[in-house]
Amino acid sequence: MGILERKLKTFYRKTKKGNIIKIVREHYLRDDVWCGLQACTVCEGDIRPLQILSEVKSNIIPFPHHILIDSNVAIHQIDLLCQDSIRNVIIPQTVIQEVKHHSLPVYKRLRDLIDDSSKHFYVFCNEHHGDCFAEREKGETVNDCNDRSIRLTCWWYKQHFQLFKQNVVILTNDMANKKKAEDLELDAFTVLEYVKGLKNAHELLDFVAVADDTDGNDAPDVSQKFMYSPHWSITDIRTALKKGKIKQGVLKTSTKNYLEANVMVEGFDKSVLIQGRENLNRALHDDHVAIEIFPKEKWSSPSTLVIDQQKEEEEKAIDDDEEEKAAIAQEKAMLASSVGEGEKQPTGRVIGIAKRKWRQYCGILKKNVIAESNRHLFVPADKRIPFIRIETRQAEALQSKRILVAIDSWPRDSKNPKGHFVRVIGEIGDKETENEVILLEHDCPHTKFSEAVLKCLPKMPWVITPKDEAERKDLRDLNICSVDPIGCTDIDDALHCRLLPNGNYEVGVHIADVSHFIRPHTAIDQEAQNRSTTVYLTNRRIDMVPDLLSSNLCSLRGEVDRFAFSVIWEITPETEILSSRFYKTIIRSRGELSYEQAQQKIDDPSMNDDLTNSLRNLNMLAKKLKKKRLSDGALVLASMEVKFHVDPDTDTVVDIVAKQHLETMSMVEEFMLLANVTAAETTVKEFPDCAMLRRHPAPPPSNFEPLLLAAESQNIKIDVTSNKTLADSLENAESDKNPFFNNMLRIMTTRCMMQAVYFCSGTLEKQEFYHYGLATPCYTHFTSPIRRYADIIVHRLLAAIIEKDTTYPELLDPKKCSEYSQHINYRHKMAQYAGRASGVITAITNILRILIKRRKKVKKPEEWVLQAQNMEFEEEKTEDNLPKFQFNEKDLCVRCKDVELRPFDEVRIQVCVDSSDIQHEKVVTRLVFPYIEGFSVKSLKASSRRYPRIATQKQKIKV
Amino acid sequence: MIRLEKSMIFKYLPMDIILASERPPFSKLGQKPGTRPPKLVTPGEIIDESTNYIRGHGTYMENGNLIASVAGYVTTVNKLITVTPLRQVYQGAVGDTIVGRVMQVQTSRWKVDVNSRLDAELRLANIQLPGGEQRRKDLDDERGMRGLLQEGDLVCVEVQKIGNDGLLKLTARTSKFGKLTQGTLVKVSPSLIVQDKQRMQNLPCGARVIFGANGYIYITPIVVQDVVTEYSEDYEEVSYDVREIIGRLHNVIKLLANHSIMISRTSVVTAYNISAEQNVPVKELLKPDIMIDIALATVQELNE
Amino acid sequence: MEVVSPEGLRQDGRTVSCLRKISCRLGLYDQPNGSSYIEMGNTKILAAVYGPHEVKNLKKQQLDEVIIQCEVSRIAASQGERVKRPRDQRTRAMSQQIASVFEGAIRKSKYPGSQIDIYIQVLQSDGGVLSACINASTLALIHAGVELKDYVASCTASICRGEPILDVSYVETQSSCELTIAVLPNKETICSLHISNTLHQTQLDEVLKIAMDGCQSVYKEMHAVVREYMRNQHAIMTHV
Repeated sequence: MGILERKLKTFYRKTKKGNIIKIVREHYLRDDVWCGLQACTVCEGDIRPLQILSEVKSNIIPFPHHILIDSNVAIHQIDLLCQDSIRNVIIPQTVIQEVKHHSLPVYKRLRDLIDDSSKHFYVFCNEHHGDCFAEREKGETVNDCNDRSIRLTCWWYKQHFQLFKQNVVILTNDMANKKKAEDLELDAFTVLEYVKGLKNAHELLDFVAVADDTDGNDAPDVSQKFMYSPHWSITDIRTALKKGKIKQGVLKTSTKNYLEANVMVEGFDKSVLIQGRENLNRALHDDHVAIEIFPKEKWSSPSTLVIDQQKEEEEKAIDDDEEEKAAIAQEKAMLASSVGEGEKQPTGRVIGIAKRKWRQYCGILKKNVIAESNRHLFVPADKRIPFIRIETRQAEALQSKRILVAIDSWPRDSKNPKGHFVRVIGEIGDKETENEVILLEHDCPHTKFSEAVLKCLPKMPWVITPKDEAERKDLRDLNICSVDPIGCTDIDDALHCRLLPNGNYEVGVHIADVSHFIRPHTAIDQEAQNRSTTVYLTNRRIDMVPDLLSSNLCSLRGEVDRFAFSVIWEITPETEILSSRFYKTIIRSRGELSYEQAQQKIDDPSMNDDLTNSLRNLNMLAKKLKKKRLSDGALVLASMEVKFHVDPDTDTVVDIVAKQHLETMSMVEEFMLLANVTAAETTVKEFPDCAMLRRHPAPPPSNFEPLLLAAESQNIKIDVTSNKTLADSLENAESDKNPFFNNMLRIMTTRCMMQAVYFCSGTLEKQEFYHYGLATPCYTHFTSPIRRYADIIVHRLLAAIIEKDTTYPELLDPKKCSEYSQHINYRHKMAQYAGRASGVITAITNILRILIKRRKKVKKPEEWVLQAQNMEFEEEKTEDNLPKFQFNEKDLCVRCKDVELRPFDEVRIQVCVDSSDIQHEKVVTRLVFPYIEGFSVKSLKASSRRYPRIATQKQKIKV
Repeated sequence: MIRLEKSMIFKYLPMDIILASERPPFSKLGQKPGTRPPKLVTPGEIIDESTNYIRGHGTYMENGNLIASVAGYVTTVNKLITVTPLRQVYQGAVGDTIVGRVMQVQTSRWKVDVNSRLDAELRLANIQLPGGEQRRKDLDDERGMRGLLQEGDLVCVEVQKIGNDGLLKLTARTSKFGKLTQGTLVKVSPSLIVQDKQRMQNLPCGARVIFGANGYIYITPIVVQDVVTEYSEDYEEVSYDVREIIGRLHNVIKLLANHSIMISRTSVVTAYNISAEQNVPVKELLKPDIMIDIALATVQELNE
Repeated sequence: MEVVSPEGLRQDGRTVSCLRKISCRLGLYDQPNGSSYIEMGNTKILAAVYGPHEVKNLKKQQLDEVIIQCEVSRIAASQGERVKRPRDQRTRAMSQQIASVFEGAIRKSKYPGSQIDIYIQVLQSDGGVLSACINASTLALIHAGVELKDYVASCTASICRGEPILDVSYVETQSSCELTIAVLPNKETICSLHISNTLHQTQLDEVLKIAMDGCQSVYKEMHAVVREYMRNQHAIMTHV
């Protein structure tokens, strides 16, 4: 059996009602938990990563050894553990459980290390080992008991390893624990001691996290020059929350002013303003904080000042007490003076932090005046994060690099949080580096796929077995083809169409059957779920699933057999859908066409083969479908998408063009929409509670205000009562003098829209399923499972419906489904931002180059002022001789001297890059025409003077 | 109604409470020296694969195998194989003297609970009328049945015959049978009752015990003169001493049954004597530890 | 929640195909014809069998066979939160299931016109209550000497992340289904199967297999206890 003994674990829990319940769980001790040493002859077990060691790597430990770590070390020193030279580590189960409880990201990283076979990490199930289990004694805290168990484990290992002449040392930063370990005659070290003693200490010392002094709440040294007020304990916060004395919420730091933040709390219409360093009290952006709200007379409104740490700090000397004090005082004064006018907002201060949302931060090292010092300030790329104090011995080398830093603690007496160096991302300005910064800052998982994930891939060469053939419908004889943009390698959809004898058409949309390869609960599924989407940067694609699947096995390439999930309709020539069915199929695409190729085929009257005819039929049907859809009230929105033509050899952008629109694009789009709608209807019918759908809520009328005002200025009426009326009025809005006017209007409409989101059908009422933009009662995503996880879930549901696959509890659990959709929404949003940011960066690095290259030929760029309101006038303090601009809210125009700018007026601008701030480069547009003295620039006269700028909101560039 | 507070109960009714965990373990007595352990089977177990045997009680045939349907020991008489379970409801055998309790009065018969799977039937025709009168029962007798035996009355009867559906037909024709007066009833498993011709015993300690073959044991004071069974209700007061004897016998039988010791005149007398010699108060006899002591001592003495 | 850790152990330290600790006893009371007590892990059940005896409600009487009545009740402290009513819809449903299990196992024709009552008390529940009740009833029936075709051994199984797991505790049922089967172990036939939550049909086979194996282990445990009890009892009965 392997079971030695049964113990009972008893604990008490308070229910929501406040009752206390006793929970008794069984706990079995076993005799077959193995040590994990490769050469061990005593234990039996499959996974044995620990090696026999013979090399002495340390100056202070005169024998080769394995390392055993305690929970705090695992949680705080994960960056150290990630280093290559740290190998052969024993992680007691107690530790890994505590890590999991404490921080999921750290847990995931630790698990990755364990899965990495080159690291030789081993999890020892000490809790179930007869000798290592520590039963909680009376009066002993859980932590003490865990520590005892870890020591017992180390002791057991020491005895056990003697058989094989191996040794083990225990690393702990807890002095009491270390002392007790030494009493057991174990070799115990603190992390710092240990790393210092290593022969390659200099490489590793930077990664040692600063010892955590429990939030620095104790040690109230009166002589300290500057002190934050202590944080309340979690229990105090809870009791106070119950009494309603304090409020809880998520802190959102202002992007303009890092000393100002907002917290949305219950019971207040407006968010609560937290101003100043002391009131913020060490809370960071996104932390869950408990706040105390000030009495009404102290209420205030947000400051109008843009405070940039960078400039602030530059003016200060380093680490001088007096100076610092003065600086803080000065800061206060500045804040006080800059109180904006406008409505008062409640204000408050942070008294405690319920949950830290620290992550790792990208940024650069700030040059230290004292060259020899090891203490440096780190400037995060995210402006909302304060500077972080780190210790490093390689400052010189890091000067021109982008680096990653983690926060360890923020003691009361330290102005800035303390952290440690994690790793170098790369050279500033290097494209790879910049990409990685974008990915890190947008929380996009982008590391290589772990071994565990790759293990889940099918063995190559992959063949279709007779079993597969039996289970699937064979559609290899159909004329199926795919139509995608040029250079697309992850082809997830293909189409076919044929005329049926009864005069109707059979149309099939074939989607890559990703769910066949990604089985639930496997490592690959977990990974894909975590990533949720493929991220497209301008020159890099971060796949959701490994390359083998995304661009080979799941990609519906031409002339090869592939598995597909097909939806097949019978459609009358009048596009009435008679029937729709889903099948798991095997298909063979007759060709991977690009939009252009497909268009050519359709347009070329000499082509008359089956494939072309089927494309023509598809195109014909698509046009009708589109018309029908538009008449139902679907919106045609425009966003000025630009495309960078990248030269693959030099990796530089050759050209920036607006995306061209072809008929074939809307043909594919139309059928994808139809497939998605069919999938949505089918899943929601069979699984009314747990279908994953996508909805697009109707925007509140207030969202349309800017659009209406702008249109009014051009004497155009827009009716926004429903999507149908909106679509119609957009259709009719034309301006004679400006051919782009309609397009502009549509761009503005896009900005009024709400975000479309995934949701679980069980969580909302049926009428809320509505997709505003597409004017469909329900919608989901089914057509791109290679790059979206939501589609995989939809596939699984559909497969269950057609009884080709199994369900599993999580799939049918509305709560889980809801959780998944929220996660996917988050990842999608972040991926979108990352893509945009990447566009900006690429633009920055390339626009100048193009402009320079083609200087002589370049026409002056043209653009229209889209929204006068959106112009931000960043006033440079040094220049006060600016002409005064006046903004007239009523008729939306900007007046300056005798020039008047209205929305949709034609202006000419110049585009260039402002790289004065290396972390936040911007595309700058300057006004050329109409010419305003002292503000506009002269045509194409690049000048070194600093002009006031109009910062672009997005890329409103059109070359 | 007066509600008693818990504390009051404890105050006025002193109780002995013993936790299950503090209960002494069941005694494990060994096999009686010189006897061979029998073949024990449990339900579903194959007793024999050959079909040469005739299947008896507690067995059934399936796929040519003889399979046990109860947990018990196997006995083979010639070709008949039976499995006798250690505990069972009363099966009934013609001629058995048993004790029963009247459950229902029906037309010209009584339904009597005799610890078998169906309530047994005692016909009006099968009883001896008061005064030993032997005659045909008429309508008046039928009307006065409740006057003779009513619900809850105990009777001592004999099994006359067993019906096709297993219904026991009882008779109380002779004078030694009939309604039982003053006394106490102990119910034990029928399998613990030793087969014995003499079911009614006057024990030397001064009480009369009827060992019903169905596991119902009735203890009464010894009647001085051998009166004919009366169906009357007039009771004499029984002296305290006799009541104590009856109580002790009651508890002794309980004790023996509790430890699965076969109940017969000898075992009851032995256990009674041991408990009396040790001067154990009657109520103490129900305490688990004392029960064990006495049971062990009884077995020991019986073996000698 | 992670039911099986990457190291291959469950939260309580068992492997996927390992039963919880089983202990049982026969003959706790004198009053009923048969009684038993069983612990499967932290699930603790008392069962008592009365009968076969005269049918109380004549309307229900079956002339050719026995009727089986079952009643399950829970004590107030049997769960984390106090149970308000000892009997509710769930225990009634469970009673029905148990009665129907034994419809198939008891040799009903042996007791025409009679009735057998099974009373079950749930003292503590931690997953697999139904299966523990069935096992306890089997033991009590054997103790009462009722004729059975075979033992009825029961245990639960579930599937978690594609891996079947045996004998699920309460926490483990939270995130997956719970399949309870009752088996006639010597005949290797299933006499009852009950699934809470959904289990996909393609997964049924492997879950069933592990559950069948589990039932055999349960049978072995019960069988050993019954034999031991019989040996002791019989030994005592040979004296006199």
